[in-house]
Amino acid sequence: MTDSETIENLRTGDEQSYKMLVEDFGNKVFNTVLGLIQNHQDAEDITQEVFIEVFKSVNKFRCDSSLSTWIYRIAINKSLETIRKNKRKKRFAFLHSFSDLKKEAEGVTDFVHPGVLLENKERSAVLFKAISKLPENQKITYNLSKVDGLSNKEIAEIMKMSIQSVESLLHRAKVNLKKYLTNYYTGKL
Amino acid sequence: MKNLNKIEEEVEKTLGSIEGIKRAEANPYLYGRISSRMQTSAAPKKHVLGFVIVAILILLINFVTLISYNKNKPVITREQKMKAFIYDYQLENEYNINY
Repeated sequence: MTDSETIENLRTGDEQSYKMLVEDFGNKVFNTVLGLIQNHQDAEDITQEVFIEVFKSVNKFRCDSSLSTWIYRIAINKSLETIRKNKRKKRFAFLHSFSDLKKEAEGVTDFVHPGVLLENKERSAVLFKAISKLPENQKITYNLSKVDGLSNKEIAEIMKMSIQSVESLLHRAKVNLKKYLTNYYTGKL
Repeated sequence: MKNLNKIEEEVEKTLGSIEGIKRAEANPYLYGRISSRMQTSAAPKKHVLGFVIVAILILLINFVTLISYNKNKPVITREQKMKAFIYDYQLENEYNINY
């Protein structure tokens, strides 16, 4: 089924099309969100919200990008909203130092992605912690490239930027990750 | 120097630890959860609806009371007001003070 057919069916409220869309994009959206959020429960909730948003706003979709690009954008925006919300929580967590709120706000520690090979679990946990410290754009680009396996062209479309900008962001992300990891392994962190 | 090389090696290994990462799988009941959340959000919330009805009723009762009060309120003329003032301050006779 083409994008325009799917969109047309979604606009008519065809339940089967909703179901098919979730089957086609469910794992992709979940994987993207999980890579950014680094929390399984939050990632599940956000994935649901992404599809609810897609169904609600499909009538407003102007088809100036592919359906897949549009869904990725919604997933990224929802994830960033949650990351910002968690950061705000973290700022006020010192007020509740003895409650569960602090643990909840700190959230991103010790995350192990379920798709990582068993022998790499420990190292990847350190890497994901480093990724979480990257600036937003670098974090998104690095995740889309390394965790979701998207090409630079696809990332450029999703992020509405040139391929050169994506390459530059990936390079800067790698430099920053190296810095963080060097500090980590020299015991400076 | 040896230590530095070891750290560099460790950094490279860590960066490569997500090479060949498999895609995480979403909950198999994802669609069911989405549709149940959509139904819940589509249904009008009973307590909100109740609150709105009660608020409208209270406003209506206030409005009706205000109108009926204004209707039944006796009209007091300036002369009546003057008389009441004179009576209240006992100004009918200024020589009625007993020593």
